This record gives sequence, structure tokens and C-alpha cells, in this order.
Amino acid sequence: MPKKIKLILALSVLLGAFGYLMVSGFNNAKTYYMTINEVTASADKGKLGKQTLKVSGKLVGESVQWEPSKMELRFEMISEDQKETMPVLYKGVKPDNFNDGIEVIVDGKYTVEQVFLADKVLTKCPSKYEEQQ
Amino acid sequence: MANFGTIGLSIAFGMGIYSVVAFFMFNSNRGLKYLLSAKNAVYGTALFTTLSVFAMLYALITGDFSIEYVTQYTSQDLPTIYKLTALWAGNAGSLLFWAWILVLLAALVTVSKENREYIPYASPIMMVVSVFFLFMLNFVSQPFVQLLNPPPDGMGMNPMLQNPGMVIHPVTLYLGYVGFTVPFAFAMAALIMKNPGDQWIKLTRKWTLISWLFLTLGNLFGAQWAYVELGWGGYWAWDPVENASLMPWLTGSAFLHSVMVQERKNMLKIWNMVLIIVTFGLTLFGTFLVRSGVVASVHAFGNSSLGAYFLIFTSLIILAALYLVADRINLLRQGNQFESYISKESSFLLNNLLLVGSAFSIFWGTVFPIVSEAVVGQKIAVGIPFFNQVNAPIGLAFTLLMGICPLIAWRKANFENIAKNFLWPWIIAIIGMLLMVFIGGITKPYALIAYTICVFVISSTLQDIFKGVRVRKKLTGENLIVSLIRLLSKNRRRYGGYVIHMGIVMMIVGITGSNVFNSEAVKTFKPGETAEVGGYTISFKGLQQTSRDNMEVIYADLSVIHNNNDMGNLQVEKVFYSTSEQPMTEPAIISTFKEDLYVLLTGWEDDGTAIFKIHINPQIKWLWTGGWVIVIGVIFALWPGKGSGVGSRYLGRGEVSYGKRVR
Repeated sequence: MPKKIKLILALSVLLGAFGYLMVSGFNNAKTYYMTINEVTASADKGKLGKQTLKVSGKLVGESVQWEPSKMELRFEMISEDQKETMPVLYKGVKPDNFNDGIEVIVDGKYTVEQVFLADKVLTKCPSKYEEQQ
Repeated sequence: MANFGTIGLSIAFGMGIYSVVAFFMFNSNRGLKYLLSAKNAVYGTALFTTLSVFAMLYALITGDFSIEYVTQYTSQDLPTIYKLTALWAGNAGSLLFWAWILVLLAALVTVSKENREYIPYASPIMMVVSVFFLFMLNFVSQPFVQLLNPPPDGMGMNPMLQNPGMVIHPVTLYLGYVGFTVPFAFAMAALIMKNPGDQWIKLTRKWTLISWLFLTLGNLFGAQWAYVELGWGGYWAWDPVENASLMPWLTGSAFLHSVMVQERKNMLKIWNMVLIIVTFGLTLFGTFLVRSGVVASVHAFGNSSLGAYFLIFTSLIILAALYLVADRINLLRQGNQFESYISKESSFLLNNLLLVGSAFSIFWGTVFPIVSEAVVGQKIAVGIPFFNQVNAPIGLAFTLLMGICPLIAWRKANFENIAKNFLWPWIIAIIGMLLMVFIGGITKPYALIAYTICVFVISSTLQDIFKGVRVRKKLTGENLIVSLIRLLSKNRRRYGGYVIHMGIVMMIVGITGSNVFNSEAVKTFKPGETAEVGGYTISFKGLQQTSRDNMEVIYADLSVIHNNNDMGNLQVEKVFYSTSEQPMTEPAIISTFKEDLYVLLTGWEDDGTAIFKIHINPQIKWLWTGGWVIVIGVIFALWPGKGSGVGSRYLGRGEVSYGKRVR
């Protein structure tokens, strides 16, 4: 076999493997950013399916129910325009700064029971590196 | 102090510009006096930037709250060491710090005699980058902005940054980032001078290697900081900011390897140019990512206009560099071709493709939310599984190559030789694998493959050293030990590389163990209660409260017994800082080479019952230790004197070079 063809073959095998890794990895891990309004609107139309979502909103302080013995955290998030709320269930530890009005980002799926089942709850601290200006 | 600093920065900016102009005058044959004057301007820039840095440090230590930056990042009760490190706690300060390292490097490069020919071109390139940073400091992100009504006390430092890891992590990372400016500047100088040989690579080798070392350490210290401070039990989350520092490490590692092919075989010249441009570009791109707020990250700096400036500057300098490469492409094309597909150079190329592929996948995953929002209007992110799924197989293939690459011959190797050379390492690796399955009880395929590859790399490396010792012993009649020491010390570049490889293998072991076998549990303890978690007998004595420095601490005392050994007491804390609403959960860790016991206090109830989250993270210590092995390897390879030079060209397998340079 001429050198060129060998080289092209070897490179295509490599590229093919790499492409396969990228595409399959991507399909397993893609997450859609949505607002609470978008989530409830899409859920009403039944368009959400089993997609992984990343939803941000503000925490409703008085909705927080934390049961340490069961490791179960329930709370509600409210949209920026204060119109829609979304209940969240998270099997995990309550974050340190879980106060009313803090910005919360949840990763997970929206279930048919209209509860957001979160795999991850992140709180955005208002003063990370830079102070608010 | 504030005026002093501001004036220092403006003078430095002016001198920086002047030096670039003066170098240009010298290069257009206007006489030697311009060269001397340009060099002096470089030193002047360094001097005045240094004075400004000292002014800032003085203001930070003395608590001069008339300066906004000092107010924002320190307070009176902050320990002195953190007052100093506040220099890189915020945007303006860390830019100042960056600019400072950069101008010091530029001065060092300019003063060095061995760089004489390159200075008229390499120095102004470094100065252009310096001038950009000084421009930012003078006009966009000024560190010495004063407050009209100075408050009596500052706002204090973010508690998460009050950790020894945060003292050293940014310094090492910045040294790594900035250091890559040197090989970039020399590469461009070589192109301008139409001198595409390997001289620029030789001159900058130590800079490249040291920068790479600092980048390695910067990443590791960052991971370690996340592990001991952020309290989620892990050390790497593929966060955009972490990715930003990993990408130049990957392309920089590729560059370190592919330049060897150019030095030995006079090939891959275009590739090397592109690699150093990409690596340098990624160091700036990382800064853009961190400062612009375009990607949501847990630990980015706040939104600021800095990002746009960085993006424009990075694009311009990369475009200029690529134009230069395109213009000189015919010069770079000259050189050797691959002679065989099974050879050291082709295995180096494969190693390069893997590293660059990995960097590309990380780049893609990091910028995907921006791209998808721009193209389809829907912001789509890729999660951690994407990065793991793509990079784990690449990482394993790359580790495997680490065992193969050093041992196959330059130019042309043949299958028989390879089979012979790798017979024993493979036998040992397979025996190792069987032992792991039947005695160690390891059944998870990913871990088994990873460990087997690690055993292979170690045994093939040791075999190579052993062969070298045997040949040397026969030739010189020295005894085993003398011959081993002399062999290693006379080929320090090669064997230093082997030591670094062993460090990487240790890190791979750590990464594998901690990702495949980690486990976590949540336990509720009443005071005085004892429970068994993952082989550890943990007794909870009770909750206490105390105050120290600028914080209130709630802590739990735990005593730990493992395999009938008393592992001592753990103090698990939740810390409330006076300057921050947010408490910090400080983990307590018992670390051994087998595993880490990592305990967090997650909450408590009124009756004194406490809830703990307990992680068992196997082999993490291997990761950190591997980093120190790499330090030893780099120092060994770079130590000045005989034996740190390049080996002879076209070195075949079986011949042993004693470090003589055959040129």
C-alpha cells in the first residue's frame, strides 16, 4: 500500500474515533438552559420529555423544607418577573447560604408530577471575587 | 501611596511604548544607540512596574483604605499573609501582578547574553504584550483608584480565598501563563529573522519547561484548593475556569514533545510554530474567559469590560502571528519527511494529536453555550459526563504512549524489535492485571485497564533504564550503583523526562482511583454515638463553639479508628466570618496513599444531633504526590551543567548515548 493511503487510513480511524467520542459524549451530557417561565410553558405543551435542564431563579425563603435525617430538601424557585414558581425536590445537603432571594441554579429533570427533580443545586453567591458594583 | 503607584504605572506604560519604538528604529538600521536605549527602556518599565507593585503591597499591609482596591479586598483583622495575597484577589490587582511578572521576564530575557541575536525582535514582542497589560492598568482597570470618603475598615477578603492554597495557586498559575510568552516571542523573532531552525527552541527550552512546570503546579494547587476548601468532596469539575488553565497545559505538553522532533530530525516546523501560537493564545483566552463573565462559572471574576479588550488583543496578536507563519511557510516547509510510520517521531506525532484533540474537546465543551446561543438561539451546555467520556479514553491512550514512545527508535523502527523490547513490560503488566483481579478484587473495567497501562509504563521505563545500566557497566566496568548514577546524571534531559512520566503515571493512578472507587454516605450522629462507615469507626463527641481571628466556628470532634489503628481526632468545622453572610463548611481529611477519609459537617439540630457527609476518596494522595515527582524530574532535567543538553541526533535503540552532543 502506498504511504499516502496508509496515512489517510490511519488518520481517518483516529478522527472517526474522536468524532464518535465527541458526538456520543455530547448527546449524553447536553443540558438546556431555561428560565422558569420557559419550563412551565414547555411542560404544558408536553415538549420537555426527558431532557436535562439547567434552570435558574430566585429562592422563595419560606418554602424551604429541609429534612436532614432523610437528606431531602424541598423548595420553590420564582422567576425573575415573579410570575411563575417551580417546586424543586433535591436529595442532598442544604447549601450553606440558602437564604430568601438568593439566585439558585438547579440541574435535573422536570417530572410529570410538575416537580423539578434536581441532581445538583448551586447557589450563586452575590460576592464571589468581585464585590457588587 | 496611591499617587505614587499611579505615576509609576504611567511612566512604565510610556517607557514600554518607547522601548517598542526604539527597537523598531534599531531594526530599521538607525544605529546601535537605539538598541541600547530600547534595552534601557525595558529595564525602566520593569523598575517602575515593580515600584507600583511595592506601593500596592505597602498600601495593603498598612491598610490604606483610601484606596478602593484595599477597601474591597482587605480588612484590619485580616492576617498579614492574606493582606499580601490580596494583591491577586481582585481584577485590577491580579492584572498588576501579571504585568509585573511579564515585565520582569522581559527584562531577564533582554539582559541575557545568550539571546543577543534574538533580542531586537523577541524583546519588543514581549513588550507589546506588556504594553497591553500596562494600558489596561492605566486606562481600564486601575488598581489605585481612590475613595473620596475612606471608610474606617475594609470589606474583607472572601473567606474562600483565605486558604494557603489560594496563596500559592494563582502565583504558580500566572507564572506558567506568563512564561509561555517567552517561547512565543522567540518563535516570532525566529520567523521575522527568517531563521526557522531549532535555535529558538534551544534558547527557550528552559523557559518553556519551567513555565510548563508552573502551569502543572498551578492546576494541581487549584485542584487541591477546591478539594480542601469547596467541600464537595472532589477536586475537578470541568468548570470553564479550570478548563481555561488545562487547555494551555495540554497544548504546552504537546509542544514540549514535538520540539524534540524538530531538534533531532529537523521536521514538524510548521506544527511547532502553530502549537506555540495556540498555547500562547490559550493563556490569554483563559484570562478572557475568567474576566469576561461570558460563561457561567462558579468561580469566575465578576462581569467586567476587561473581557472585550482581552478578546480583541488576543485575536489581533494571534492573527499577526499566523500571518507571519503563512508568509514564511516556504522556509518552514524545508526539512525532513517521515521515513516510517513506526518510529519515535510518528509516536510523538500521535501523542501530539491526542493532546491537541483533548484540548480541542475541552475548548468546544467550554464555549458551546456561547456558540449554541449565537447560532440557534438556545443556550445549551455540556455537562461533566461529556468531558469525562471524551477525555478518559484519550488520557489512557496517551498514558499508553508514554510507555511506548521513549523506547522506539528514531527514523525507522521495526515490528520485531518492538515486540522484543516490549515483551517483558507486557508480561509484567498482564501478571499485574491478573493479580489485581484475583487478589485485589478489582473488577471495574475502566480501573483495570488504567492500572494495567500504568504498570506497563512503569515496567517499560524501568527496563529501559536497566538496559542502559547493563550496557554502561559492560563498557566501563563500573559497579551497578555507580553506573546507574552516571547513566542518569549524564543524560539528565532524557531521564528527567522519565521521572516526569512517572509523576504523570502516579497522577493517572490517583485520578482513576478517586473517580472509579469513590463513595459517599450521610450519617446522623447523636452526641456520644459511634458508627461504622466504609471501614472507619467514627465516634462523635459533641458540638462546640469557639471564636478566633475574624470568625465564629461551630465544630464537631470526631475520633476515628481504622483497622484497629487510632487515626486520631478530626475537627470538622462550619465557619462564620464576620465579613461575610455565608458560612463555610470546612472539611476534615485523613489522607493516606490508600484513601482519604473526607468528612463534612452539613448541619445540626437543637438536641445536639449532627449530620455529617462522609466521602471515601481512594488514592487522591497519589495525584498530589505525582505533582512533586514532576517537580523533581524537571529540576533534574534542567540542573545546569553537563548532561542536560540534547542527546545525539538519530539515536537508535540499543545504543546508549553518554550525553555527548554529536553535531
